Amino acid sequence: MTSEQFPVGVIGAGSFGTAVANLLAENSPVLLFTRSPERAETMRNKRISSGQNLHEQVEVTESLQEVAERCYLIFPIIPSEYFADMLSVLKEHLRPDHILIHGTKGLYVEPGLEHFGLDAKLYRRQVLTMTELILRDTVVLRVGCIHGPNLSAEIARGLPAATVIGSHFDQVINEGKNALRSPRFQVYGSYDVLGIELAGVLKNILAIGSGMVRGLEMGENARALLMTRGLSELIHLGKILDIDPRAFLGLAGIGDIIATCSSPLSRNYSVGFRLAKGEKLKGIIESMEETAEGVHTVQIALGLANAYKVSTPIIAMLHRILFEDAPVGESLQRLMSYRISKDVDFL
Amino acid sequence: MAKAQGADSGLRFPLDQVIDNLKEWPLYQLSRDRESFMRRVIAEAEQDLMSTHRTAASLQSLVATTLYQEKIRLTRKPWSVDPPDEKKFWTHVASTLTRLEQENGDQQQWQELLAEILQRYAKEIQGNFHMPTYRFARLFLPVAFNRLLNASGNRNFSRIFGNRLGIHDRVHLDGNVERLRQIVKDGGTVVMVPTHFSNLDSILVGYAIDALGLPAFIYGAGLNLFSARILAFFMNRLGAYKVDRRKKNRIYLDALKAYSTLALERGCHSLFFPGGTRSRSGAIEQQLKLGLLSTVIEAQRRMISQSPTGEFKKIYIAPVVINYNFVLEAPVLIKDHLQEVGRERFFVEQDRYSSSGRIARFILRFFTAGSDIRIRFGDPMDILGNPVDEQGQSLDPSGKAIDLRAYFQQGGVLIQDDQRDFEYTKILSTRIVEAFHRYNTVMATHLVAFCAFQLIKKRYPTLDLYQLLRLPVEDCIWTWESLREGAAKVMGHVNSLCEQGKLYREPLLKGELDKALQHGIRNLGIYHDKRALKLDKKTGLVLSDDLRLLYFYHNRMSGYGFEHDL
Repeated sequence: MTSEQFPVGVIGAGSFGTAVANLLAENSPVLLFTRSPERAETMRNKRISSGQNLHEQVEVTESLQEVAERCYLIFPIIPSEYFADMLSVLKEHLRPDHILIHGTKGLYVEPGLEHFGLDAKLYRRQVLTMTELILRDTVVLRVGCIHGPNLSAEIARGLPAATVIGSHFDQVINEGKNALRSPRFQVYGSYDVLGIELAGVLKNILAIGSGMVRGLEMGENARALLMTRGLSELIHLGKILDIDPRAFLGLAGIGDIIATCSSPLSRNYSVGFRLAKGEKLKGIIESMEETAEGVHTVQIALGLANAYKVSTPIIAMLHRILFEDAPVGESLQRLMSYRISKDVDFL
Repeated sequence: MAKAQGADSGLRFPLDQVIDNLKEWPLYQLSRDRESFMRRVIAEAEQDLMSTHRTAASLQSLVATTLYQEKIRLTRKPWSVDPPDEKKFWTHVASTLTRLEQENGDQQQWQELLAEILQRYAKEIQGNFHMPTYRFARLFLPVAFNRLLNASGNRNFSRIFGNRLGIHDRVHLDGNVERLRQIVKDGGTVVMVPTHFSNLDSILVGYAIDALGLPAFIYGAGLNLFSARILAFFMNRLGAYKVDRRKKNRIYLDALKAYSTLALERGCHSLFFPGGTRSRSGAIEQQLKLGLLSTVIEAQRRMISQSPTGEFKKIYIAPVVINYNFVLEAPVLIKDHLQEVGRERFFVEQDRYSSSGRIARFILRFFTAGSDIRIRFGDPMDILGNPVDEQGQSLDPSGKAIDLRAYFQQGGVLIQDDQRDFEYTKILSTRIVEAFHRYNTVMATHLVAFCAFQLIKKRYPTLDLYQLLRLPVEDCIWTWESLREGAAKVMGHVNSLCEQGKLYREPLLKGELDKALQHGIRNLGIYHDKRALKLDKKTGLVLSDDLRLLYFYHNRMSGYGFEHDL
């Protein structure tokens, strides 16, 4: 309706941000923000961002102020570790009529609590989702998130996909749908913001595990076992955080799990895969161009599980492999020794 | 009238009227054209109902559902305050309904029946403002209170100091009173939302509004309060409108909302208890009722849309927290609460305190008891719970000015969106609940009740709440030292919250802890038949006759995590 006057803003020109910008550009002009002025210059000249050609309707900027002033619908899609810093600049320019729909699949932890050991406890109030962070730090109330099986590389190739927008506001869901929808991109809506958000965040944990199983060539049966039992752990953890298990059965949960646990295109999967092949975490992270959110999420999930006494053997195992140098093969083998009395005990 | 010292504000109450000329008061003006106002209320509710019930069939089902619910109310929950012709009216609705069904009535006929029901509800809800009664009440009530106060227990005290006690000595008004007055002076509309613990709240807040020098408020009062004739006489003439919690049907709620929205839109200051009913558990409200609260958002949206680019009048939310050492209804309230939570039984609200005599006794007993009350006015906020500065300008989390209009815009255009506004109502409700906790005042009585109950809970870690509350009296014993030790720990936490502006404490708690605890035990629920706590002079032990009461007063300090300090 108003897309003629107002471009849609995208904050973050990583691979997912760029893919979303190109999707949006099919329906309206887009203003794509990147932090670095040099990078912005290159993007403007070469019309390429994160290896993807930029749609002609995408304009590049390095000013958050410009994004806030020219756009009222904005998609922040940046790693969770930079989110709070980005907001501290952006909030100066935000108004109550802005709509923010973020696509960040990570969590924010109060400063000082970021790194901790196997037994550390983390309480719900110490952890914020990106939506909660936006509500805490800015004046914007109309907030939402997009999560789903959206491997950037596939979207960039024009392959069909779907996503779900979580928001308490019909208006946010509808504006997001109108902006994103195309013959190759389907958009669903849900009021269960927290469920969508946490499902989308927590599933990265399983992607890491799945990559390990593949890396060790343990077979598809073992991978299915890890994914299924892992999902059960996520749901139990979710219940403690007041999340309806159904959130995990939608696009943002099981949908995204199937995509990221199976595809070498997923960053979190690659982390697991390369660990299994003998690389060290530090080296892998340094060599990666973009953040694998799942690594940090493993720590947070285990902290929450400790605090609320939820049994999460798979998450604990991944924690040991990632942060305590436990051997991947031996640890995964232990999967077989868990005593599980009931198959499905979360519904 | 002697002016008394306010507790921490340093102000002397009553303050001068913010608006001298009573004829300029919005409520006075509303009462002047009451008839046309009520016609608008009915028209507005009717329009709203017709927009969601567009066919004869859906109107029929709306009326039929309402009739069904009203019949149940008439038989299961009759109150003495119900008008004598209730039955007759609903019989008439029933027969019209049957006739229209048989004749296959058209939409017009159904609409007429709807209008008839609306008219009846609107008439019941409607309040008035009668200037002579108001003037009389202002002169008469303080005198009456003073007589009550000085007729009893405090005689010796006042003789010694040669100083007669007034209501201002008993009821302490704290908080940012000046800001509230400034907002009214600048033409803002105030919606006062107090916590609700006692039937006395209504009277106290009425007194407080006047003591603050604010113009009269319209005022949502539970219908049952109107059953006491003397109260009804005053309330009917002082802006109170009637809220009947038993009626939960759509037609009634629409009429009530239209009344509140239109009055706010006209700039009438308004007061209602957002919790809907008295807190049964004794805890601060955690959940608010969203119906009346949504009218605040709606009224502000309309005030903005009437002036899409220019200035508009703003509505401000003033949270109010009332604290008592003694809540007369406590035994009944906590019993209700335990039944409700424990067995999830169908909960029949009873018509208590229904006669003039009972309410009069209630007031007498209260004022003759040496029991302080603290009313704290929180900083006013805008309708989305944002803080406001001296000029009433809304501020965002970083202190930057906010244009309230933008909340109702989409791409620069004002849009009506009920779903959005409903979400805004929920956000406002959350912010009010936070404010209630922030502006709560810890009293020595609550501190001692909290510590005593938590200590006994720790002593019997395997018992659930119900088993705990059934403990024999002989087991409800504390040593002075254990209570003192616990209270010191909790006070450490309380003090740190107070320093951060997240909580308040009564002045007594800034002094010596032993004295405060003794005062607390002495005054906790002081005039109940059974004592929640008492000090045994011979043994020096602290005892309780009634753990339920102790639990009730203890709940006042729940929600802060103090239990982890013990």
